[in-house]
Amino acid sequence: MTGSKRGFSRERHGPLKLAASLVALIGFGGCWVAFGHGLHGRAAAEAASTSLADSAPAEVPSTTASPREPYQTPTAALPSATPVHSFKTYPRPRVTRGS
Amino acid sequence: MSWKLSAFAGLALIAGIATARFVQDPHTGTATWDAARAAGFAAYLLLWASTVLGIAVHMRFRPAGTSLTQVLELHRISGTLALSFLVAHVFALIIDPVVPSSLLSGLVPFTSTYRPIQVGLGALSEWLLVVVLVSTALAGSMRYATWRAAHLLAFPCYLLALAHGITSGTDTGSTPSLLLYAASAATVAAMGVVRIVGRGWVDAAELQP
Repeated sequence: MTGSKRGFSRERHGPLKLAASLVALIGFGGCWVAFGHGLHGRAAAEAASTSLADSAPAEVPSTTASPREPYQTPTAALPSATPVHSFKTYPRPRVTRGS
Repeated sequence: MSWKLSAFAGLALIAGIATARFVQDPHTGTATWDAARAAGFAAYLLLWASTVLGIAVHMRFRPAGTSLTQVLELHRISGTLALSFLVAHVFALIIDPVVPSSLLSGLVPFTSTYRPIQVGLGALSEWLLVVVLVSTALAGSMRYATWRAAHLLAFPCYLLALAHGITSGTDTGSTPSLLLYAASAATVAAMGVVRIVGRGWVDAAELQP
């Protein structure tokens, strides 16, 4: 690139740039609407299901060896076999709407 | 022109997202979250377009029926627009009522509580883009070698954005996202190879009377 073409001086093709900006904004708007209509990613759905599962208090922890053995609270010496997820490790619980 | 258009677009995006924040349900609404995702994809695609068009300008390559100045101007506007959408991406995440994001995690790399490394890559990419654009804005008052060195940061900027999108984006698992990332990365890789291998072509072309 030659020196005269560097920088943002001597810019030309204003209508072309305006069209490019409009295309970008319209594309963003379309993508936003599409996401809003339920095109959520699989990972987001998994995060939502994981977070929702965490909030279910009736779940029996998988560390319980048998139903007859009482569940022991995980400690540093005996951590839980299943990782504990929280809202801090996943973006947010998302309930898909109509999808 | 590019700065003004991009600033106007950025303000429009922020106004729209802020409006959505107050309109949506504070507990179940996903408008700001969806806006953050859409703005992230838009910023990435614009960054990709700017990178590809920059290589094309360097190689003096232009599609039939277009001039090199048109390609150059599209390269400029896509770069500045990428920054606008990047600001909108960070803004939407900050004002989202559920996601624990902050301005600090959006600006300072590796300070996010959610996937700090992956999100930090995005913050690094963001600052590299700022360096590239500011150095271009000040290109008239700096040595060519200095500007060129700063402008080459566009490549790590794009790669960091790609890594950020793949590793921290919640849509990465979807097929369209994977295809988008694969196709865009392949394009940049192919043009990067052509740029390196074809350096002699440009030099030879410049020697033509």
